[in-house]
Parts: sequence; C-alpha cells; structure tokens
Amino acid sequence: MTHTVLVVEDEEDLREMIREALEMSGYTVVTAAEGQAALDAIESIEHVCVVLLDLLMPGMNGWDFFAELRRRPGFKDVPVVIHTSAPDRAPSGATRVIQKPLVLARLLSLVGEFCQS
Amino acid sequence: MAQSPLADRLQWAGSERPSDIPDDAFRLLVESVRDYAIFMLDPTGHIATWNAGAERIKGYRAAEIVGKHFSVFYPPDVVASGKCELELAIATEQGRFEEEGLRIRKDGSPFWANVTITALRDAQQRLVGFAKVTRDLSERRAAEEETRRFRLLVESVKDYAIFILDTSGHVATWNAGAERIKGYRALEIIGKHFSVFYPPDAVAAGICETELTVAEATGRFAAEGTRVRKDGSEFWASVTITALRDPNGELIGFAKVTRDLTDRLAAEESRRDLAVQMAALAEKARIQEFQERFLGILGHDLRNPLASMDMGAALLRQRTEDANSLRIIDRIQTSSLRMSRMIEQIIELTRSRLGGGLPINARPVDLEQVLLSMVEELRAAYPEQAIELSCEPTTGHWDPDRLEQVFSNLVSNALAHGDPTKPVSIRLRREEGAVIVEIHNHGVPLTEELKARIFDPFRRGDRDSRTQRTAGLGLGLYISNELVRAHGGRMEVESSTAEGTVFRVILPPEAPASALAEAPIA
Repeated sequence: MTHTVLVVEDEEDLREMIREALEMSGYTVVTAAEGQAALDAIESIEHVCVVLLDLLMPGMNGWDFFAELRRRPGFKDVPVVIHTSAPDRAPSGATRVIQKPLVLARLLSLVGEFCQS
Repeated sequence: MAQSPLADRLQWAGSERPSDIPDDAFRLLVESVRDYAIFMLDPTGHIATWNAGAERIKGYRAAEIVGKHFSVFYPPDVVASGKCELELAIATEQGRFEEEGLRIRKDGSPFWANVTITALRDAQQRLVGFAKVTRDLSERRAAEEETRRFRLLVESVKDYAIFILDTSGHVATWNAGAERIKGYRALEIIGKHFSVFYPPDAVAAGICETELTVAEATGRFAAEGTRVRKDGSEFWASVTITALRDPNGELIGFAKVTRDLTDRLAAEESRRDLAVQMAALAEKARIQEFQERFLGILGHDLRNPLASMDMGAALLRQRTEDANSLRIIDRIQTSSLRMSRMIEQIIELTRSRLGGGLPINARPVDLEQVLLSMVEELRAAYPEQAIELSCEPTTGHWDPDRLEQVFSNLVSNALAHGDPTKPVSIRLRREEGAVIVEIHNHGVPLTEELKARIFDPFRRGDRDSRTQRTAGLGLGLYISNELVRAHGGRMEVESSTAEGTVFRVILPPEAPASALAEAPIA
C-alpha cells in the first residue's frame, strides 16, 4: 500500500520545498494550491496518510476544504495537520495545528507520526 | 334729482348765505358727493331729497326712495324698538343725533354706518325737517377688526419675540413670546432701549446702532447671535429687524422678531457630534481593516517565503559535508532566523500601535519558575557569561510567555551590551502592592540621550558597533515596555559608570482584566 501525503498550500515555493523535503525522505507527495483542487485530487489517491493544510488560500480556503472533507465518506478520519499563521482560528476537529513558519525538522517529525516512508 | 321744497328755507349756521354763490350751487355740491349719503327727511322722517352718495351707499335710486320713511334703512328689530322715532326726537330736542350702527342696504345686506341727523329749522325756529348724513364705515371697521385680530395674534405668539422699537430703538410693544424668551414683562421693558438684550461687549462695539442703521438703510437686518435674558443668561438667537415706514415713507419705528435657537443649536450640535462619531467609527474600521491586512501580509505572505528558504537551507545541509557549503548554509539560516524575528517584532509593533495594545493572556504564574527556566536557556546560549539570579518566591496573575519574552529581552541586552567579564544579575523582590524584577549589568553606561528614548520604537542603540550584526530593528525594548504596560506595570532604567545599568520591571500582583483582549489575527 502506498502512503501519500497531500500538501495543500498556495505559496508555490513553500509547497514545492515541502514536496522536495518529503520526497527526499521517501514519501509520496501530491500537492494542491487550494481547497477545490485538493478535493479533486484526494479522490484519486489510493491512501492518504496525512493532509498538510494551509488555511489562508485563494479559491477554496482551508476552513471550507476541511469541512467538506469531513463530510465525505471515507475521509472522516484522515489526519489533517493545519499549518497556519493564525492557529487560534483553526477549525476545531483538526488532528494537529502548528504555527507557521514550518521548519524542516518539525515537518519531518510530524509526517513521520502519520506516514510510513 | 328731486327738488327739495326745503332747500330755499335753509338757514346757514353762523352766517348769511354768501350772496355771490348761486342757490343752485349748494344743491349741486351735495348731490355730487359720493362718499356720504346726504339727504333730507321731512319732520315725520320721510325722505325728501337724495344724492349720489346715498344711492351708492344704500343702493336705492332717488325715484324709488323719496317719500319713503327712513326706517327702511334699519334692521326690522331696531325699527320695532322705536329707535327711529327716538333718533328724531333727540335730534329735535338737542339739534343733533350721532351714532355708529348697523344699517341695511336695498339688497338687504347690512353695513356699519356713522350717522348724523341734524334738525333743520327756518328763521322762525320751526322744524322743517332733518339733514341726514350717513357714512359707510365697513372698510374702516374691517381694517380695525383686522388690526385687532393681528394685534391679538402677535400678542399671543409664544415661539417668537415680536415687538416694535421706536425710531431710536426703545421698546414700544411687547408680546407673550418676548416675555417667554427674554423674561421681561411688558411693563418693565416698554420704554427701555433694546440694547439691554445684548451682551455688554456687543453693546460697547456699537452693534445696536449698526443693526438699526442697516435696517433703516436696506429695509431689513437679519443675523444670528448671542442675546441676554433678564436673568443674565445668554441664548443663541435669530434676529430680524424690519424698518416700519408710514405711507409717505417716513420711518416710524422697527419691527423686531427674535427666535430662541438654543434648542435648534443643541439639535444641530448633536447631529454634528453624531457625524463626527460616525466618521471616527469609519476611520477606526478603516484602520482595523488596514491593520488586519498589514498583519496578514507580515504574518503570512512574508513568513512563507522565509520558511521555504529556511527549509531549503536545511535540506541542503542534509545533502552536503562540504565545510564551505555548510558555512554558507549557516549564513542563510541565521539570516532567515533574524528576518523571522524582525517580522515578529513588526507584528508586535503594529498590534501595539494600530490595535488596542499588545494582547496578554493572564493566568496564575510562579514568577520564580519563569525566571529560572529563562536563565537556564540563556546560560546554555551564553556559556561563557555569568548570570546570577536571586528570587523571593513570588506568584501572581500574569502572562508567563509574555513575561519570559520581556525578561529574556532584557537579560540578552545586558549580556550583549554589558561588561562580559562581570556577571549579569537578576533580582526578584516583592514590595507593597508590587512585584519588582531588576536586571543589572556592569559596563559602559547609557548616554543621557539614549536613556531618554530607550523605549522608543526603531531606536538604534548605536553605542556598540560590535553588536551591530545581531542588532534588530530597535524594537525589542519598545515591545518589552509595551508588554509590561499591558500588564498594568511600568519599566524604569538607571545607568551610571559606577553602578552600571539597571532595567527595573514593576508589575502589579495581577494584570488588569482590560489587558485580556483578544489578539488581532496575524
């Protein structure tokens, strides 16, 4: 079974840097720049071990994505780690909320909790 | 025109008829008068002659009225009371009867008339008849009635002071409104000069004369200004002075209308206040929006690229053993960390300056514990420097994270700027109603100039170029001071060559509840 990390982040450099970091550590990574693209992508992923979710994004934002994801059968229990500059505004029910800026060591240890490389 | 059989027998009062005037002339004169009904009655009251005025006023032509009894001119109930006989009797007795009363025209309409009945006697003093002169007073009476009503109207108006000044500005009439607005009764004010309604300085400036001069020259003077009531209190008034002129254009006085605008002014003021408040609210909302956008840019948009730079450097570190590359990676990560701290400080500055101050989250705190863990971290970071800590056990109600930020900033400064060969000491003590933390270092003291603006934002502590590399934006002490203020406390600084430098943080045992406001979102 392939374990895939879904990274939802609008900032391209950061999104691609996270992909680099995770892929270098042996994870499979799918990325999306906003919520709707992420919802479209997640249906075709065989097994999502964790969703790394930004909140402030153009298009569908992180709050709406999270609410929609939890409504979908099969995704009610997918771990969602929210990384945000406004942790106090994160939606309740998130698996984990971490404050930006995201540093490499923290990223790797977090993903390691939920996914096998 | 019917000839009067009496005409030739008339005796002229006081003199003989002038001989050079033809007999006919007087008859023609009387007949042509249009403003008066002038006619003769015979001794029994029957009409003997008729003139143009009688026809105009009473509506009868001569042919239809001559020979009729004069009672036809009276209302029936008056006739029934025997008044016509009485009038003739009085005229016969006293020579003359005069009254004002209702008379009836041919068409039945009544009019108000002035009536004179004069007994006519011949040379032998025999009664030969009566001269009756009737004047239609309807118009005069209507004018009088109008005047009476108008006077009543003016007198009863309460919302306006309406009165007349004579040509020299003395009060000639007074109404209810004037009494209400100005406080004087008619008796006490009539005859006084209208300058009593003005503040003394306005009177001294000649404003009363100016107003009358303008009204006389242009017909009207209008203004708003301060006026004085009888009790000395002032009010804001709208004043109009109108020149009054007789039909010949001669000035006969001034009409003065005064309205108390105090209520209107108060209403206008409250409207203005409301507008100002709304503008202030709009401005506040605008600032709030700007602040949130600004904090969003700082917190999100600037931090994200920094995070990816730092992450990139960290990834490179994992992939290289090359010492030169590692040194460059160090530089990148140190710079991005500095940048990250500066962004954090700018966010704090923005919150403290644009928001309602820095947010704190007060809860029960063991302050000694906070200082211990902070000192432990700094000792690890500065192993070559001595940090001494002396504490009285102290608990209170504060934000421990924010206080740690404050003390860490102060101790880091002391370590960076103080004499590195001597210890930095931290002392926690309690005083009546206050908790005091002092951070002391030896070394070059602060200049007076620097001390004066030590808590200003963007101040550069430029006395020590060695620390320039690690210097931030000059916001550390500003933010620390703001955080202490948010706790309801204050900071002091003392500095001398002998004693070194002491930063003193004075806190109340409990941070005030008002400081518990939610943070603006970054």
